[in-house]
This record gives sequence, structure tokens and C-alpha cells, in this order.
Amino acid sequence: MNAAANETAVQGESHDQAHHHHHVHVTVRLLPAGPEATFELPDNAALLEVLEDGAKHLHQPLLPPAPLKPLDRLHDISRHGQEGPVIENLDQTLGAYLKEKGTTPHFGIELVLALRVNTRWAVATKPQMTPREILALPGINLDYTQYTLYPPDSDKLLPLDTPITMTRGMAFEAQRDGKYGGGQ
Amino acid sequence: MCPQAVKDEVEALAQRGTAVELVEVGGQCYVLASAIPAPAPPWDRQSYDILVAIPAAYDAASLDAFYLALPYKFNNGTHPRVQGGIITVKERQWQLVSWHYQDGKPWARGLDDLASHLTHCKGFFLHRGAVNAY
Repeated sequence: MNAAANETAVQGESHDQAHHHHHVHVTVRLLPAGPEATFELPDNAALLEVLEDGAKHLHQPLLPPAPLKPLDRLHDISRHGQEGPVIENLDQTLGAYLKEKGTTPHFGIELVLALRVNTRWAVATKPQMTPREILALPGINLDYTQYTLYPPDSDKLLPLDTPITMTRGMAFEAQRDGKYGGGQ
Repeated sequence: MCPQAVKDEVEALAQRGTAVELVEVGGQCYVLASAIPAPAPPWDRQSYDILVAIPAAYDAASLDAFYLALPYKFNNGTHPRVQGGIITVKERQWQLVSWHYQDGKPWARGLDDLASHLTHCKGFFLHRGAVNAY
């Protein structure tokens, strides 16, 4: 942690005598330039809690919803206000993270184009995707020769190579189509 | 006794808000899935409860077909593919539906699970992708 960031963190800390751990004032803002929230977390809170609590303060539901791990991303914001890379390890504690060089108690939340196919979640890689591409996404990983993609509760299949405009939280159903009679 | 694999899947689905529960009758394990949506008409209601028989060797053994809670109406009569055996589970009657996976596209361990089978069963009510007419 650099001196300025360290100073910020120290200034933001309070000590919980009963539980013997510090509290850290964190700020979280919605990326790229959305509203900001300030709140306190104990330094033994995981960064996942920063993401979850930050989203609550910003009134933004994360996707996928709990108990699944969110696909939305947490970024560090530098002391100059610049957006840093995605923080990959959300299991580390806030205290441990803030001891790393260059970190600050300021974070950004990136809401991704999360989509659901059956019970599987993935992040859209383009604003428009074909069913073939959706089924191939990491996290979905279904063979387009085996599954057909439908909108929820619809019998209108989505043509394999016709692009669909993706929206956050979009849901699909991939089905192994059926037949009447005969069994397997 | 229900296989551990299906116990784990039912617990996970229930945590996510899917209305599923395990039922055991005479040594046979079933998953009771509630409120599977259906278009009305031709069905006489907007959702149905179904039972999926779980093989003892699940998930090495695959899932296929399901039972529909009785009574129901389809086009004010019976559905020509709901003509299988009738069982009694939880003091309700259920009839086997002849709805299966297409040739060459069976339920596959590792790719499919209970949730994907329930989606497949839902396709029966929506008349999704059936390769042969009723």
C-alpha cells in the first residue's frame, strides 16, 4: 500500500474493542460513473462482502443472485480516481487486501451482461449473440447439436444463428427436445 | 432411499427457489416438482405438479419421462400421450407421460442433471420441439 492510500485507510479505520478488529470506511461506486456509497466493514470481512454490501447500498441487485457467487466484478479505484483491474480474489479479507501495495479502500462495481440458461450463468461477450454462441459460453457449455434454445416458457425456438440483443439478467431455456412414446 | 446425488441437487434447487421436494414410496425415490408452467388453453390450468422417478443408481443411471398429477384436461379431454400407469404418491394420483428424449440425444451424466430434465419435461406442456405429432 502506498503512503497516501495507507493514510486514507488508517484514517478510515476504527477499532472494535469488543471484537478486537478494526473497521474500515470504504467507498463503492457504480462503474463507470454512477452513484457512490460509503459504509463501514470490519477488516476481517471478505472482499465479496464489499461487493455485496456495496451493491446493496447502491440498490443494485447482483447477478446471479445469492446463494450463487456473483459474476459482477469489483475493481479497485486508485487515489487518483482511476478504475483499476478486476479484483480476482474476493475471498481475501479487506484488511489483507489493503496491506497490498497500491490498494485503496475505494472500490467500483462493474455490472456485467449476466445471462442465465436453465440454472447456469455466464457473461455475454458481445452486445448481440447468437444461440450458438450463447450455448458455447464458458459457464453454459452446452452442445448446440444436442440442445435447443428457447425464451422462458415459450415454444418458439431461437434460430441457431440469429443474433439476439443481450440484456442484463436475460434468461433462456436450453432443452434436449423430446419425443412422444418409445422411451430410450 | 434417495441417491445422494439427487439429494444434493434438490437442496441446491430449493435454495434457489425452485419448488422441488424428494418423496419416497415403497423404496422408489421421486422428485415432486411443483408449478411447472403450461399454456391454458389447451391445458386446463396454468401450471401442473409432476413427479420424476429417480433411479437408484442416479446419476450413473439417467432420467427419463415423468408422471403428471391427476386430474387434468387437455383440449377439454385427455392428452393422447398421457396414458401410462397410474400411481398414488402423497395421497394423489399421478399418470405416466410418454415423453422421452430424442434418439441420439439422451440425458447425459455430467452435462444434464435434474434441472435440465425438468426443463425437458416442461417442453411437453409447451409442445416444444417434439419430433412426432400427437
